[in-house]
Amino acid sequence: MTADTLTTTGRPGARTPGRFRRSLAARQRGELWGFLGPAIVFFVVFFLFPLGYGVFMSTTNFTTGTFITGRAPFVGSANFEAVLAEPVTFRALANTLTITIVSVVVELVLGLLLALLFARRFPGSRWLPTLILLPWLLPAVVVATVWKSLLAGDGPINDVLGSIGIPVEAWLANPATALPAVIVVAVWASLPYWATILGAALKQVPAEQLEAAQLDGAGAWRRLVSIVIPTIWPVISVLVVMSVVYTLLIVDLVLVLTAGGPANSTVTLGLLSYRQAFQQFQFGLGGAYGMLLLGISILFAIVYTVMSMRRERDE
Amino acid sequence: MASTAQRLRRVALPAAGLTAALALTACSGGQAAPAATDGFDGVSLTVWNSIDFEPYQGLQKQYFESCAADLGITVDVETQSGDYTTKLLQAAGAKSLPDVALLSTDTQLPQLASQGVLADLGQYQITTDGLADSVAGLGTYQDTLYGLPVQVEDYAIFYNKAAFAAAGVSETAPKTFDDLVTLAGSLTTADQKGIVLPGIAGDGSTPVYFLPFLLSAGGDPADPTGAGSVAAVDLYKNLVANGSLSSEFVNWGWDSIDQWTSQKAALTVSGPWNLVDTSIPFEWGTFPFPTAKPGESSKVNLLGYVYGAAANSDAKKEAAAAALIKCRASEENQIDTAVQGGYIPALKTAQDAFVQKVPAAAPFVDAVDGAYNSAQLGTEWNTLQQQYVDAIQAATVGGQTAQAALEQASGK
Repeated sequence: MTADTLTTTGRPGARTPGRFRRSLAARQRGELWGFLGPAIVFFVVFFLFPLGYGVFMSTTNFTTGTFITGRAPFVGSANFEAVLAEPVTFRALANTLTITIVSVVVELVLGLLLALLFARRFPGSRWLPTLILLPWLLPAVVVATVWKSLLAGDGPINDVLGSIGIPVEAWLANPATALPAVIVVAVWASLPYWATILGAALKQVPAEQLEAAQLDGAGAWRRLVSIVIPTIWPVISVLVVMSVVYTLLIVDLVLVLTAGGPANSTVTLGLLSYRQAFQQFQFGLGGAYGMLLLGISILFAIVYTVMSMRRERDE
Repeated sequence: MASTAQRLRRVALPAAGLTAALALTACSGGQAAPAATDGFDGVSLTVWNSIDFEPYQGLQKQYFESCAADLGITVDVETQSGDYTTKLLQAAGAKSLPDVALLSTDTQLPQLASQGVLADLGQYQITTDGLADSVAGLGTYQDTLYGLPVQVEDYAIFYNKAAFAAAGVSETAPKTFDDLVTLAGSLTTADQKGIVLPGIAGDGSTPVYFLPFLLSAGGDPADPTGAGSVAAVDLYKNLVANGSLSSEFVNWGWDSIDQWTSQKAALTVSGPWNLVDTSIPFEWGTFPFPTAKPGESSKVNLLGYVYGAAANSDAKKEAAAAALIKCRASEENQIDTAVQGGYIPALKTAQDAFVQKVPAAAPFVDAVDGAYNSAQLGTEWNTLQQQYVDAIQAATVGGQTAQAALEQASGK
C-alpha cells in the first residue's frame, strides 16, 4: 500500500504527520530493512566481495603486472586445470585431510577427557582450566616457533626422550615423522579451546539424571555414552564443524614449522595457495587453490547440514 | 629444456604487451624530454630505500641529503619496511612511485621496467662505465638502462679457523666438490657439523646459496635436470650422507648462519654482510666455491641493487632524480657502504679499495666478473626455486637419487 492510497483513505481534512501516513506493514518493512541493512552491507563488503574477488582471481591470469595495469585476462578454468595437473596438489589434499581428520578426532577425545577431568574436584581443579587455556591464546606463529625449537634434533624433547632410553629423531626433518609432528602441534594449540567449551557444556548435564543412572547401576562408561554425550552433542557438533573448517585452512603453523617440507611431506592446500600467490606471484593459481579449499569446506558443510536435519527429524 | 631465445620470448612478449597496454591507458611516464641536469632549485624529491638496518639506512639518508644539498634539491628519504615489492607495485599502480627508489635486480627492476614506469637513465648521460659487464647488465632491461647499480651481493664459503686448527686441517680452499665433502667430513665432530647450509622452502635462502654450486658445476639454472644441477644436488646428498651436514638443514633458512656463529658448524655459505659482522665470536676466513671437476672455474650468482628513477611527466623532476642517483653512486659512497654495510661495491675501483680495507672480501670481488644474473630467467625463476628446494629435500632426506629428485620436482 502506498502513501498516496493512505492519504485518500484517511479522515478528510485531518492533518496526518508523515510517519503516520504509512501502514503498519510498511513501517514494519522499513524497520526490518533498517535493521537488516547494516548486516547486509557488512555481509556484502566483508564476505561476498572478498569471496567474489577470490572467484574472479581464480579465473584470471592475475599477476604482479595486474597491480599496475589493472588487467587480468580471463582464462576460464585454466588455473584449475593447471593446479589439478600438479602431483603436489593431491599430496597436499591428502595431507590437509589427514591433518584435519586426525587432529579433530584427537582434539575431541582428549578435549572431552580433559573436560571430564576438570569437572571433578581435586587440588588445582579451579585454576588449572585457566592455565591450560594459555596455549590457545598464543598466535600460531609463536606456537610454531616454540615447537620448532622443542622438536629440534638437539631440542628439549629429544633430551628427555634420550634420557629415558627412547630413540631420538630430527622430528621435523624426517619425511616419515614431520606430518605426525605437525599434527601434534596443531592438537596442542587447539586442545585448550576444546577442553574449555566442552567443560562449559558438561555443566549443562543434569546431575539428577546422572545420579539416577548411577543408582540404577549404570557404570561410568554407560553414563558417558548414554547421558553425557547425547546431552552435549549439539556443542560437540558445532565444535567439530568449526575445527574442521579452521584446520582445513592451516597455513601459518606449517609455514613456520616446515614450510611444507621435507620433500613436500607436510604441504597443505592452504600452503600451496600461499606459495603460488606470495612466493611465485601467480595470484590466479593461488586463487584456484583457495577455491578448492572453499569447495571442500562447502562439501563438509552440506554433509553436516544433511546429518543435522536427519537427526532433528529422527528426534 | 627451453632455449634461451624461447625463455626471453616468454618474458619479453607479455612484457611488451603490457607496456603497450599501459601506454594506451594513460600512463604518461617515459614521455618526458631530457632536461638540463642543472638548475634544480625548488625541486622536491622522494627517495625510497628497502634495506632497514643500521648503519645502512642512516648512510643512505646522509648520502642523499648531501647530494641534494649540492644540487639544490629538497629530498625526503624514507626507508620502507615489510613487503617492499608489493609497496612498489601498489605505488606504481596508483601512479605515486617515489622519484628515486632502491630496486633489487632479480624481481623489482624487471617488474617495474616491463610496465614502463621507470625512466631511461641513459638519456641523462648516466653510463655504466667503470662497472664489470656482469654488474652493468643488472641495471638494464631489454637493453635500456633503468637502474644504476650501486652495490651487489654474491656469496662465498666462510670457515671457522679454530675448527680447522682443532681438526689439524690446513686452511686451504677445497678445489672440487669431492674435496669439500672430504673437508667437511674431517671437520665434523660430536659437537660440531662440518658444514651448514639452508635447505628450507619459501624464504629464498636455499636456492640463492645452491646456485653457486650449480653454476660451479657448469650447470644452467634454467635446466633443472642438467648435469650441473644433478652434480650440485648430489653434493648436498653426499654431505648429508657422510654426516657433515645435518639432515635438519631442511628446516633451516637464513637462520642457518646461527649454527655457524654458535660454532655448531665449521663451514657455511654466506653473503658479504658477514664480512663486516663484528659479533662473530671467533676468527674466520673465506674461500671461493669449489667446482664439480678439477681445473674448472667457479661461478656465482649476482644480486644487484640499483637506484631507478620514476618516469615523470615533469621533465625537470625526472632529470633531478637522475642527477641525484648519479651523485649517490659516487665511488666514495660505494666504498663507505661496503665497509660499513657489508655490500660489494658496483664500481671496479671501489671493489679494489674494499678488498684493501677488508681482505676477506677477495673471493667475493674476484667472482663478480662473469657472475650469473638470475634476473635473466624472468618469472620462471620463481618456479625453479621451488623445484630446486623440492629436489634437494627429496634427495637428501627423501632417499631419492639426485637425478630422480630433480626429474620429479621439475615434472620432466
